[in-house]
Amino acid sequence: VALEQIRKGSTRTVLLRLLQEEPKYGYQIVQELEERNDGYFEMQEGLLYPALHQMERDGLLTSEWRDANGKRRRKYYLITDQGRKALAASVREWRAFTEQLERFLGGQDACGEAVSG
Amino acid sequence: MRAAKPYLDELAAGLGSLDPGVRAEILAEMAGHVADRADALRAAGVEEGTAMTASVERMGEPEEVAAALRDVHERGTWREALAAAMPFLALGCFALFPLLHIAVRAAVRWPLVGVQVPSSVWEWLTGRGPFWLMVGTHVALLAGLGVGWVKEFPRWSMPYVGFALLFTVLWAAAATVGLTVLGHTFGHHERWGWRAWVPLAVCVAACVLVTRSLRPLRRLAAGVWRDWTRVSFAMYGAMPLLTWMLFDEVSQRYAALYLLGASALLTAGAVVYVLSGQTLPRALALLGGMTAASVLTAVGNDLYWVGRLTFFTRGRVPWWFGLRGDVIAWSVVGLVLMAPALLVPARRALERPRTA
Repeated sequence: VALEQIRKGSTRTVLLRLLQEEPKYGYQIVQELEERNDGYFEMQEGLLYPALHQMERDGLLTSEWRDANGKRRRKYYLITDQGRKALAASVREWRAFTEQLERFLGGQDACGEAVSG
Repeated sequence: MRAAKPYLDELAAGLGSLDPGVRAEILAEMAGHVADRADALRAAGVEEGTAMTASVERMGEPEEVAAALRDVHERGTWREALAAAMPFLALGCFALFPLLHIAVRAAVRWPLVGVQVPSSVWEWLTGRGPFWLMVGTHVALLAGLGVGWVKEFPRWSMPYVGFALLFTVLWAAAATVGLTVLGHTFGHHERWGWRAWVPLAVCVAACVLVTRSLRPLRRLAAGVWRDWTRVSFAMYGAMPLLTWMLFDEVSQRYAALYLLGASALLTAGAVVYVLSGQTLPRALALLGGMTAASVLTAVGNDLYWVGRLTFFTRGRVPWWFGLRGDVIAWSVVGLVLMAPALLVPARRALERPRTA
């Protein structure tokens, strides 16, 4: 359950990080998530869109429909300045969190403590 | 096995309460995703029918996806919630008036150092102040209605529609004996009648002139058809007047705190309604706000009369005297207010496509 919550909590950061590189459309985002994380961030693909739309309403993203040559039109999502700032803040928070957690877990044999306690 | 069209039809049905333009865009985006995934699977050697079924299944259950999308697109912003709350905060302003009255009288009697209250303020407060406060509120409500009209009746504007209409009806039945308006002095037993409808007519004419279209009215009708809780919210806009009128025969000073409480509860209901993205929480927000405000005002009103000698009872008013009337009256008001909201699930069930 905790892992699921961490995954959910990091969805925004992951999406902002992907869109920081270049504008992408929904299916492309899902594909890249699969390729880069071996399915770790796998989700029901339809639920990607409520997340993207909420981020757009929050001003972190904008979107535009683009025509691809001879292919179907696609809605591309672009990161905004506000989105970049939110990503930077989020990355700082995650780094501080993981550093503290690592320091805590690395300083003792967590499994041994649990067993002997 | 599931094909793309039935899946998208189920999704479209689940998004039925959204604006048609927004819904069409979402469906186009989702259809593109399903087609892209199916293309990729086919390119990897998966058979045609299996590729489409697998693509659709990876999208997740349409009810769940539609609910999450509704939650995003129907949830109002804090600014919209504040705009919707204004008519309910107006009730609080009315409630504050007698308290202001008391404060000014205290300042006049025992003037604080450096604070001089002009006698004209006192005269205004005890004379035409309440009247002009009502006129000001009416104008503010019509202004809100006008902004809502130009913006094609978003959800927050619904209480303005209900409140402006009810306020006009109330004014039509009001008598202001001796008041001169545009050279006409109101006589005894003379009511505002048709004159009360003039401000609303002017507001409507101005809106039509500004928008040069009846499109906002069509959008209003379409919005109500898509989401019947909007009608409930418009009627909920009548609650401030209903609660205020309940204390008609009661000392305004006594009523002030109860009205302030009712104003806060109704405002909370309106804010939760606008910020909610789903029908059920919305209906519950209105029902909760209405019930809490009506219980508070009924208790306040009943407690006021307990033990008093009145012309409508033989002896002193017993504690249970108003109870039956309160329950019946507020149940009727609640049913009328909530009837459109309660019809939403029934309508959804009727409209649900029968495809598997």
